[in-house]
Amino acid sequence: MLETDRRRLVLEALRPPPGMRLDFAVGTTYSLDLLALLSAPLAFTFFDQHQEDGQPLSDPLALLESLRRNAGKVRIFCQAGRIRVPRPDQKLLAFLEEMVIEARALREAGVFHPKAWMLRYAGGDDAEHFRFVCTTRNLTFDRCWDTALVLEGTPARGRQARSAPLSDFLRALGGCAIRPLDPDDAAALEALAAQVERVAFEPPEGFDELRFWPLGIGRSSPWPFQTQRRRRAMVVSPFLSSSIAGRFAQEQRLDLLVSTPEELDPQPEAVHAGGGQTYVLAPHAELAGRDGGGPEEDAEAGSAPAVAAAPSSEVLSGLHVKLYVVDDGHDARLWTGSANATEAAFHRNVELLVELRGKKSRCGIDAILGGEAAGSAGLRGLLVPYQPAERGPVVEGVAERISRELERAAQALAEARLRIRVEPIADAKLFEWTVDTAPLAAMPLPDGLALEAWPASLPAAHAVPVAATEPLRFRVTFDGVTAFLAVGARLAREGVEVESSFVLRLDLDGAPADRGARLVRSVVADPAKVLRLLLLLLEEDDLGGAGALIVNRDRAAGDLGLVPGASAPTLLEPLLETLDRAPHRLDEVARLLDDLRATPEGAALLPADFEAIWEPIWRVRKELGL
Amino acid sequence: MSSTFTWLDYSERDRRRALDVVDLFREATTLDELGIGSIRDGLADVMFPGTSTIQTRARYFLLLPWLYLWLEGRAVPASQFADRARREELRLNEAVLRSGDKDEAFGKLAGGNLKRLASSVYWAGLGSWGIRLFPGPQSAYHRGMDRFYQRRQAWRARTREEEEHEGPPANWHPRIPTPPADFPSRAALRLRREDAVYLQERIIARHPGSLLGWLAHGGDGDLLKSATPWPLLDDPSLRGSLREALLQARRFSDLMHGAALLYNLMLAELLGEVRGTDGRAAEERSAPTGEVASAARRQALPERYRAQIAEWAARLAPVEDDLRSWDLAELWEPLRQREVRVGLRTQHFVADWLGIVRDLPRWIDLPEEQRARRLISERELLLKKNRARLHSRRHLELWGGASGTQPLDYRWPKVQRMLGEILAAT
Repeated sequence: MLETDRRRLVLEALRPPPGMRLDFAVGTTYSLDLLALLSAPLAFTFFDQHQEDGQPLSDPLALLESLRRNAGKVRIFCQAGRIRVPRPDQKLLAFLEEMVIEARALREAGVFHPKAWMLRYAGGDDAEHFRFVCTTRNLTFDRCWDTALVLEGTPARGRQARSAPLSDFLRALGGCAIRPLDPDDAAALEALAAQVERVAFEPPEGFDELRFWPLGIGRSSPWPFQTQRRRRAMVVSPFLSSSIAGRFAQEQRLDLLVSTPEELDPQPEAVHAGGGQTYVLAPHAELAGRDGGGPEEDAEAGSAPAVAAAPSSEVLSGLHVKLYVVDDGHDARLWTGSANATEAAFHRNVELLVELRGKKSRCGIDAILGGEAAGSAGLRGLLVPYQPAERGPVVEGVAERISRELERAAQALAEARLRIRVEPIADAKLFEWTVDTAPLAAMPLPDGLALEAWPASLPAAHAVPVAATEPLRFRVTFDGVTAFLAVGARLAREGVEVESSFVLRLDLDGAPADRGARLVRSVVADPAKVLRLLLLLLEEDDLGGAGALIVNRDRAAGDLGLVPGASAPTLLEPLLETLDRAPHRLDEVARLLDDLRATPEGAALLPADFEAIWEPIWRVRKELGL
Repeated sequence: MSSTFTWLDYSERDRRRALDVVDLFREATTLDELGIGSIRDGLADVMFPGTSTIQTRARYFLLLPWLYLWLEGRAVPASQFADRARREELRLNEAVLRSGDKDEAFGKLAGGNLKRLASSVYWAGLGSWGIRLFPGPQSAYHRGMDRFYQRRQAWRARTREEEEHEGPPANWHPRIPTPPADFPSRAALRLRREDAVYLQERIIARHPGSLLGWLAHGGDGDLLKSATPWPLLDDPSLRGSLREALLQARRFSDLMHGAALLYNLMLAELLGEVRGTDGRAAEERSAPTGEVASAARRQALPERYRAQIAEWAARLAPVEDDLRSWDLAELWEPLRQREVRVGLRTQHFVADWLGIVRDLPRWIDLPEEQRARRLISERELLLKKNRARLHSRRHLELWGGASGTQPLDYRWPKVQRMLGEILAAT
């Protein structure tokens, strides 16, 4: 179980089953890297599609269109104030705005901490497939030792009792959101939660039973680790409260405790909790990489995506996995998920754990530890016995206290629900981008907090001080319009100063409509691209459509005459089909045409006889009000 | 599909893929705002061959060949060489970090991302100093290992059968000092005496006619103490083409510093215009407590660049006559000899700029010289087209507030650091 030479990638875990496409996905994370988030919608369409020379697909038009479509189907809940400041010099932030929903814990001083995905895929004939992914890693490009539990689910006849807590968890997300959910999002989430109640999830190989343990969403958090008798137990957690370790030691025979020196050094009582053995990650466990999988091999496998997905080994370092195992008679019970063995996790935070049960021989403590030998594929191969540091217990550092104060301040800033107002400036192609900061006056911000802020689409050099008495005003270009506000916060206590920076996702009023679509259209520069974009817009929204068109684009370009000066009849059939099957798609085409016709250069990009084909079709669409 | 419970891997490829997509829509413009990088790098290569701005410590000139020789000794096949070399280099980084002296060590995590590998950073320098004998790029070296092993095998067979006068085939200089016995499990950035003597010898042997070779030969670490290399011009023992190259480099640095400052002033002024009165409002508004420095700094940006131009003019007063009478042929000559290609338009830009500065009676008036502003503006447009900051609002707003405002130093800080280490250890 959990052999270190068997690993999966996040994107691989999110990838649609063969022949299906993503229909809707809800993710949760504590901290969020917007670049990592960007890679998620890419996974859904372009997973491992490569050009013939083995280079990853990099057709800007297709990528943008894919991003725009998939962004509408992905929602990610993250702890407010834990979005990292992205690089400003790119246009793609606009796509991510609708995906991000800031959240918080329902209890005082807790955080929103779960790291899970619930995904629904759709295939032909109304087939649906469900997948639940529970990781111990946030949606960032961290390279720590983390685990991923991937549960495949199929719709079942009746209610599935064991899926009910997961459904409850999904329903609780709306209440965690800082702002009321968009009604469409709320409906989509409720529909998913209702479906999940009737989904049967299959335990991974080696396990017979599974149980979802959402924490922090009900009146009280359950303690998932209750057993009839005192049993042998193992706790692996990078963060640790001695009280939780103590509770474990009281209820079970805590034989193995795995954590980090940073946590263990100041808490000798936690080390003593079980009287058992305490381990830390071996300093060079990151080098326990596996061989093979070099770039050449990857390129050769490019034609078979499933094989190409096999990752070349990258360096993992640091311990981030959270794992609880209890040997219960002939059985073993194992819990994985977001919860560290801390007070916060079990009393205040929103967390999600999943319990798995199986035979002790397959998934008990010894099975997971594996052999004693260093370099064995089990967990033991990554560990060394903990050596207490020379120094005695230390009191909590001032800097850490300030950091926590800053984190709470960041959440408070998000809870002020600031709004951005965007107004075009006449004749200037610029926009007034104004944040009304008045609501900050009512927020409980710590004394001495120094704040500066700037649109996340600009470099930090634009930062201006934040005060509730004065709105933040910026003049930005079209590409500078953003719903993300970057914030720099500074707080000093007892001569120690701590700085942090983060991004808030604000409401955006008056932004130019349809920014994503306009961005797609902005890369259209020649008649061949216009044709391709028209075809992309008309494509059925599945893997056989846009993806296939792009993968086979050279052939397609030949077949369809996608060369400069190509004629419009190419489009007649797709247009008629679209009118018949999905007439609303024609509206997108109409918007593209409006945009292009707005300038003489744009109009010149349209195929010569296109109007003759388009006009009658568009008339039908309008007249029939389809 | 079946459910799984596994470790979660990290994929540089996933990150790369996302970055690639982002890069497709990058709006960043170049760091070499006025397109004088070819001249800057050309002069630096003439004076300090084999150095680069991203090198850090001298010992990598030995750690890397040792690592490659170690891999060659294990006859790692070509198909695995790149992968293995990368992993061993990461392991080497770990060893260096464990040694205690981590200053500017490779492999420290920067924002969660591994920076470049030392082997790619030092590859060119290793060739320039004659430590690497293999003539091609790193990837060709990796790919060609099988053929190299065959040639090595053949040589061994020949030496067994008959007296062989040729040395064995080698990708690396044969007299590289022997690594410490515990290499590569332990590695440090401190130079042993034999390491330093070897590197000094390499520089002198390969680049006797360069300033770097002259400094290495002199063996006097005190010459490296000054913040700029210009005081060397006062050293009577520095003569001929060495002194000439340094003099051209100083003139070019002095001349173009004014252009860089004017460019920044123009950006600062334009940004102020675009922002209208808002900048002022922000300045007068106070943070809940205290001032936030960056905002305050930015408000005074145009004033700051005017002050820097005044400082520039004052600093150049002692060499003003020298600069006004500069014949640019003296600049192009050493570059031409080294086969550094400088584009015609770049040459014209430098000549036009020198002409404007030469005609300007008082250099403190540079901000008011419209010809100078026009030249800068046209130059930027020519170089960056629709990404020119003076012409595109979006690229103006992406400006960080300072671009290339330091005088050109031709990698002098790197020379100070690495040659300083070498001379201190000999």
